[in-house]
Amino acid sequence: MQKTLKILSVFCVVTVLMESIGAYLGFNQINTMFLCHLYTPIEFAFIIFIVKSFYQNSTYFLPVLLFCFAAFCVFDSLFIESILHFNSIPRGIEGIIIICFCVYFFYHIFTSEETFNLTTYPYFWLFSSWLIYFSGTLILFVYSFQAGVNTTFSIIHSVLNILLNLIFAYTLWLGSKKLIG
Amino acid sequence: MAGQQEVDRVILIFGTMGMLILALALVVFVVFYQKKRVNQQIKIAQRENEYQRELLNATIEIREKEQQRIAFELHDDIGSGLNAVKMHLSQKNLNESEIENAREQIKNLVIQVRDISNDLLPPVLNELGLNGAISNLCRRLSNQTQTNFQITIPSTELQELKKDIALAIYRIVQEILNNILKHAEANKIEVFVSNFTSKYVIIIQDNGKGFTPPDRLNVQSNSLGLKNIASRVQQIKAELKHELINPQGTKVTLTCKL
Repeated sequence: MQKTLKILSVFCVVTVLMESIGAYLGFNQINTMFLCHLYTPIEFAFIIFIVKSFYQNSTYFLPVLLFCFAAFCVFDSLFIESILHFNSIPRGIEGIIIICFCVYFFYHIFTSEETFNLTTYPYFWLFSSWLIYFSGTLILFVYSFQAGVNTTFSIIHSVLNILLNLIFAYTLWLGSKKLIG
Repeated sequence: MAGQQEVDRVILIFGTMGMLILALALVVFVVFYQKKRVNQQIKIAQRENEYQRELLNATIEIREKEQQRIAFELHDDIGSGLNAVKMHLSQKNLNESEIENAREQIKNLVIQVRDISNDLLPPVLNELGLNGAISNLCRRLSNQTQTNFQITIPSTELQELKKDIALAIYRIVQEILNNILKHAEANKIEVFVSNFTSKYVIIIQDNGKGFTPPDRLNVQSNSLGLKNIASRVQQIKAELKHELINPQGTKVTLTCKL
């Protein structure tokens, strides 16, 4: 499997671990919001690694962006939003940045002289899944700063999360199929 | 309180739906756009393949016609001529005038053999180089026709020009000049050659009725001569450009990068 998809696989394993811890704590009536504060920079780091590996980008832009975002997440947890509340500001900013990456990816496809059969191109599905998930959740994250996390938030987020993970699975399946092929 | 919750719910649902629709629209648009591009590329590749096949067929057809022509010339002219000489010489008691007659027939046959050989591989190319051969060709055509030729060709030959490329260029020029003489109704042809170290350029300009290549008119050409030119141009990776000029005539530019 290509390096980029290997990073995605590791990211999926880390996500499963975090979700398991969240589920365990949730069953034991313990507040799991601190996990969101922890998960956001980790997720962003993995996405940065994937994007960097995909474009084979050797500039300092992406590492600097990651460092700034991680620093902001720490600042947000300590001074803006309590660690026991949902971190809507970092999630919103993360969403906007990743939507920009996705739009850039589509622009790259538009302007590239090479043509791809998109339905069998794993990276198309990967970037599409991020675009759909982060576009769908952007309003949720931004609005949760004011309204907090409620049932509607949880339902919409869960549906989008399931969709995201299904497309991840399809992406990895396509990637492994190509390797076998 | 309940009212505010309802408003929040509506905002969340419709806001999310709106963003999702935008994201999906972008994804669907990219998929369709890319599909269209792929289809276009397939069509271009198919057209290119068809063109290549046509050129290949034309090349084979030209070669077969050439072989047929040589076979006819060998059989009808050389063969029958040699037979006549043989029969002539088989007679007993030949007098001086009959021997002279046979000698004359053999001389004519030698000329015919040389003409066939010249057609197959012009010796002037080896003797004079490409520039000299083109000058020679223009002078010969000028003597054979009523057309006035103006030639501007450098006297120095380009050393790095390979023999097969030189032959292809010579054949292209020969075909273009023949086409002009046959179809253009021109009374003046200008031939300009410039050979730089990196490229060889020939401009042939006539004052005839003007010619636009069939592919530019989006029609298929059945002319073997034109296909022959296209095939040779492609073979040497050259570029051929046709331009109509004012008040009348055509300018053909052949550029061959070395």
